Amino acid sequence: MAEPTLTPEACLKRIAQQDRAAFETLYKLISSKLLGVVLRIIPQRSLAEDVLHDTFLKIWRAAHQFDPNRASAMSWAATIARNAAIDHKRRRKEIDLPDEVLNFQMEKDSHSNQPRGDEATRLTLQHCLSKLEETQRQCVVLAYCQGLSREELSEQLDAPVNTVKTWIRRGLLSLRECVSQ
Amino acid sequence: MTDNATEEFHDDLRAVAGEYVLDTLSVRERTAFEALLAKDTSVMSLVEDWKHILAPVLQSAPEEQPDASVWLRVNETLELSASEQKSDSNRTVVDLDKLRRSRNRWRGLSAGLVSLAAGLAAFVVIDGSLLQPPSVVPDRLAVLTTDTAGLQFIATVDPARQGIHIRPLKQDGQGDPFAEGPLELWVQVGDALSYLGNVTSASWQWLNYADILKTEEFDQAVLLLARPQEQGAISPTAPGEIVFQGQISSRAR
Repeated sequence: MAEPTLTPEACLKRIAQQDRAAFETLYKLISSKLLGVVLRIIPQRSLAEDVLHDTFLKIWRAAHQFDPNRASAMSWAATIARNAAIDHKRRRKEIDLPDEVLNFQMEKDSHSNQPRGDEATRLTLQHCLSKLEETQRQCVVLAYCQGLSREELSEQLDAPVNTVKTWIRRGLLSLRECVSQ
Repeated sequence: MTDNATEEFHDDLRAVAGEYVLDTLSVRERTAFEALLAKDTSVMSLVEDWKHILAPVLQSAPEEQPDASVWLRVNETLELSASEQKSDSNRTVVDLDKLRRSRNRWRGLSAGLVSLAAGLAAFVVIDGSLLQPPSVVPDRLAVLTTDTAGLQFIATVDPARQGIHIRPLKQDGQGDPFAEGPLELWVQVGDALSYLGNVTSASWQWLNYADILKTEEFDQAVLLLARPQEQGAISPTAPGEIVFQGQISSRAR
């Protein structure tokens, strides 16, 4: 029986030793969040669930590479999910973009076991993103969360590609400056 | 360089590193940046910095409960993989032996292919018509061949981006390697086989290995292009018929 009290970090440590119960616990802890990450990039639910399946197999195989000093388990796994979704999207050459304009809400994470540093980083990022101009913020968040290219951002935001490039650049530099303060 | 110019240069570099993590750079910009990454470790710290800054954005995604079938499929795949490794070990050994025997037949060609590979790498660099990546002579590359001479694939390992660039080297009169559908790229390290992704394109294609293998493991690896054992499988557990294969050659450093 999987232990319900394990943190995602502890799960990954055990998964690196091929512990299937810990893998199941990790799945219960983070699969909903990872599916949310994937759905932003691949809105079709059945395809997104295929990518989620693929993501967990990658997590199983790569758990030994997780370094808790560099990132939280959630961040590490979410990055694997994002990369898997973007790779999948490119392979299928999907160009349908979701209609929604991202309303970035940094919700409180449901995992109380998240390391403190991660929570602080997130709050800082939330604050700094809110300071960006709307177009800059949309470019950064849509590119990162939905895997949009400059051309796709240009289409979605109805602006020339060069303008989008400028928005991304200015947005990133403002973000970097704010985060480092 | 004046202080302002230096500051502007660092801002540019920082912004490009950010775009690299966002994945919004064009192919040309990405290739140029990766060449810089390979040369300058301080640039890698900019990339790591951006990964750390942006990672929490992903956690803002609303939670969506996956269908129960997803876990069942994940579990089934692992069960299948485990049972293949344990109870079906005979078949695995036979398959791997078959691969080894098959590879030995190619081994005679290998020495020649290493020279050919070096030439091809230079060709790739010089001949712009073969598209952009890789822009620098790669440290590790493989030429994947068939039993019969003819169509070959070239694959290079990109340590900066932790991916493999692969494309067929097509000559006049040779058939379409994808006529019967996509090919699966597998990597064999020792007795372990890992699936890297589907190859579907006659131009350069990039497949990520970051979550599967470490770059150094490619030094002893063999790349295999196989027909899918099961059509449409997202995470195949074993290759079908091996169509092309080639040993990775490492450039002396």
